[in-house]
Amino acid sequence: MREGKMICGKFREDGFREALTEAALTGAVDTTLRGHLAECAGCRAELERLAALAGAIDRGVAVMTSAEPSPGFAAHVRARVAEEPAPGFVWRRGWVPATVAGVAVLALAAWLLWPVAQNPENSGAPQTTERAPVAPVAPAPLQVPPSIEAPPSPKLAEHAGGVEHAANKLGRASRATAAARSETPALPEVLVSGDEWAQVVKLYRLGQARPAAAGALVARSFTPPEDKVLPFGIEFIQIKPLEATKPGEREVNPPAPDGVLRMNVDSKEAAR
Amino acid sequence: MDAMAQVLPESLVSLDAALEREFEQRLADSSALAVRVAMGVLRNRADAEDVAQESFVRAYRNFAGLRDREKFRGWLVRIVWRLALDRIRAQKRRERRELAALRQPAPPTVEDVAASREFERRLEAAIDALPEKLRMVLLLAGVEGHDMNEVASLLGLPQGTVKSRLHLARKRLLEALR
Repeated sequence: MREGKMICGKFREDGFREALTEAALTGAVDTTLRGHLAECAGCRAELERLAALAGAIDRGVAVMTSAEPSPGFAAHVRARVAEEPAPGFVWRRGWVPATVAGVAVLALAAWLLWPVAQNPENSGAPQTTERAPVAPVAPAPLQVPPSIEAPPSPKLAEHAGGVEHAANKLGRASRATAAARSETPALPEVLVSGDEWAQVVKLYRLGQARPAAAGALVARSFTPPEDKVLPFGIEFIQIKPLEATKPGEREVNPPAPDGVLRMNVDSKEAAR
Repeated sequence: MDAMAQVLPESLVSLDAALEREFEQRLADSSALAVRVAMGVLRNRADAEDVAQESFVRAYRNFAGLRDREKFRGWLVRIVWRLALDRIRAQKRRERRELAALRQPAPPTVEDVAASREFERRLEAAIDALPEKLRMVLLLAGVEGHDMNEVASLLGLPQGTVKSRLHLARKRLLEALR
């Protein structure tokens, strides 16, 4: 049942095609889909076809990566390695003069540049007395543009305590994240495709300037039981562009040096 | 270098010998992994073997500097991956890939064979179109015997990240081929 000649109008409904794909990949069929499949032979056939296709893809990938090294593989590696110097540090002829020359150049450069570095006018720190506006958030991985650094609206000021608390957490999480990044990364990850990246960056900037507003947005993005917003929170998530950004987009997109946005999506405070 | 070896303390010489032995062990343990990862990217038997061998040579050069030897396999995978991509980019061999060596047993009819080859071609194109971070997880997970935990360990990623990337990769392939 191809989309061009489908019989069932369900395919045009938002989320149905997605649910069918998920069911084919995971075998998990949600209640709504199950109800429809019980009465629609066309969609049942489509699900079977997709599940078979998913199986064929998995088999194809497995075949693609099922090669064995040839019998002479290790011998070839040994032969190529034999042409290499032994592993570890090997003192080669010519390194002594090169090293001495390098050290001399560095020492000369340091001697010449030292007075310049000592001059406060050359320290690179801003010399103006006028301070740039400061966003109402704790240290964050991104620079927030002045245009969106306006103070929170009176309505949002109700959340001031929450903002401060969240901001403190943000600062702590930032440090914890930096420490964690030096080890194995352990943050939940969201990969964003190119066409959505600019929107995510805007949302991120809003979250930087107004954490309570961002928290409220997250809190409203799911349906809570019995008209209550349940306190929930993901302390930090990494938001990464799925495809590499174009060179020019770096100026528009403000990720951290490693190219990742880190967003606090804690909604506990906004939910109160 | 031989002259230097003669004047080196015995302890240094034996350290080199120990490194050699350890590298030999890694070579025996990880050859299949290197060839399979290279094959997943290049899909050409001869190129995959060559890149895998070159990867071991690169690994050998820097083996003494590898602090955590337990991470050798993950390190090797990254070397293989980079060299394989370089090979593709430099030599533009996409059109000349050999598929016959790795084909599954031929289906019974000519039409089925043609369909199978067509599917293989489309699958390869769809995999090539995946972003690198999805493709790498997909191919590593495809290597026989690698579960999520092993892939996560090889790539130094959380298991949840590997799982979500693999799911996204399969979903994209399914969408591309449906």
